[in-house]
Amino acid sequence: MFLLDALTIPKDDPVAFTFFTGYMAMMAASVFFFFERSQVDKKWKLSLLVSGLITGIAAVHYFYMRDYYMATGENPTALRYIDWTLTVPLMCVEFYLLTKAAGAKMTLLWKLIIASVWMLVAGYIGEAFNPEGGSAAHSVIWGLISTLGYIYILYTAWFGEVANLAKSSNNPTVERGVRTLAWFVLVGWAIYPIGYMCMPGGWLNTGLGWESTNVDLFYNIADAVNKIGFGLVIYYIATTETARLSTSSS
Amino acid sequence: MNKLSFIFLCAFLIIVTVFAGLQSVDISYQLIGSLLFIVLLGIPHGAIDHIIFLEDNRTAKPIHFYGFYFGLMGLYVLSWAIFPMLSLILFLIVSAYHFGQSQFSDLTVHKSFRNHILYFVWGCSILSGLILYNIEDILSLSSLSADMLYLSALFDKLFFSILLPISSIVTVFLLFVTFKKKRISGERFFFEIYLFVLIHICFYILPLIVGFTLYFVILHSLKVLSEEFTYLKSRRDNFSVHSFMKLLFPITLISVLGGGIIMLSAQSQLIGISKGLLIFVLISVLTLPHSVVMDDFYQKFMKKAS
Repeated sequence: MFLLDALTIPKDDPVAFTFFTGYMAMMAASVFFFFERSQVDKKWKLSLLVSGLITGIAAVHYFYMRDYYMATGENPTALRYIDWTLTVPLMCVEFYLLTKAAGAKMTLLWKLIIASVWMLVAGYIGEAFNPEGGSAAHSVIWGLISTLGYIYILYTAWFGEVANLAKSSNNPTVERGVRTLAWFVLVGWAIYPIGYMCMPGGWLNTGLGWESTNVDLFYNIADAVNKIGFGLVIYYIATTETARLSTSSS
Repeated sequence: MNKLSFIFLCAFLIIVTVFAGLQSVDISYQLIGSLLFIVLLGIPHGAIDHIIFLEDNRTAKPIHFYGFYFGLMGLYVLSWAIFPMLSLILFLIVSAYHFGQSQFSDLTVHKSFRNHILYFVWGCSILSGLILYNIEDILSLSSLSADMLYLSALFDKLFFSILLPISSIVTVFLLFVTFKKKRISGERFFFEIYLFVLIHICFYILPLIVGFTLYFVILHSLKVLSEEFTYLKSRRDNFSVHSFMKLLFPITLISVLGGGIIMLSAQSQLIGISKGLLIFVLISVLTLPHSVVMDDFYQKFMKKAS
């Protein structure tokens, strides 16, 4: 999309506004994480790289979602799910990287990736393959299946393997960081089921008349906060630990 | 987040998803489902009030305790007969305080008037939310009998529209003050806000009976049962879950059977009040002495835990 087209953004369209700001914010965050990678200890470089990839992938998708929305005025469902299918598993990878020093195994990584892909694929089938007009049964079944994946990740982060490994790391920074990321999963990721329920056939759609356009704005803000916020938590842990290591070695 | 809140969140997500597919569930099925959970978990949480009270009060005589407990119940029944509206108001006030105290039971160790206000406004907020979000259903249910219709005047939409925001704002404010006074951590503060909002969403989205049962059984009854078990385990050797269930069983059974007999009596017009009002009376008559016992329990339990 060329600059001339970008100048026709309606003043009263907050969704278009947030597509633009979301795209720029994610790109800026990626640049920041990639550059800051050189400032942290080698132990944390991979984590910052993953944070940069998360926001970078999201930036590219927001670039295309912005164009799609400006051209059609519709919710870019497929593009959102493509973005989430890549970035959400990467966020789960961060949990593994944070707890690796405390003994996290590859099986944990795979379990989290599978759970996140399960959550997103089921959600996508529920949203994108809903029969014309919206079928409540279809929405419910796939919504339930997707929720199981979310519950698994939530449990692992708060009470399961990730939480226990963070506790056993004897590192208050890692423990606090993992807990903060768990809060992101609890509160930040809650916006996505709300959006799902606004799709045709979803409960908020049939029960309260909410539509997907009602939540595009919240998706955009939540995506930016969740992804950039996630990365900033990793950045905080990386820089704090780097400072601690350099203090103890000197 | 603790495990009970996690269970509540999972149950809420699953029930909301299922309700979306069912669109609406007949009230009789809602009642049966809710009754089942209340019998299994709700009633038992008050079934060992006598054990809890007498456990640490070695000087107290059982006869005095039972005299107090049943005497209070008897007085309240009388109160319902003479002042039904005031009795209903008292029930709501006691319930609000009791729910709030149960939610913040760990703060009991700090003797502070602010805590009592917090318990009360928290309970007021969730109960006024429950009533306001479901006021049409409540008024429709209460119109089924003359005695309930009289009491339905209490469920004034305007009143609860004012009470809800005021009690909610005061709750958040007091939680913030409690955090600033370092009685709770920052994380706990955010968690309580999250749970507070989630309970309101639950009451808003789900039907009256289902939403309330979900809160009452998981966040209230299970929590109290867990605390009672921990308390008794610390005082008795070889105390297991099996031992705990054996303690709960007798009074639970008596309560269920007794409640059933009384409801059947109402059905066959042997007692001259409607079933709806009878349910309110039965629950409130149990709630009042139970709340007093639990207040004493929290003082003892939290003092020991700290």
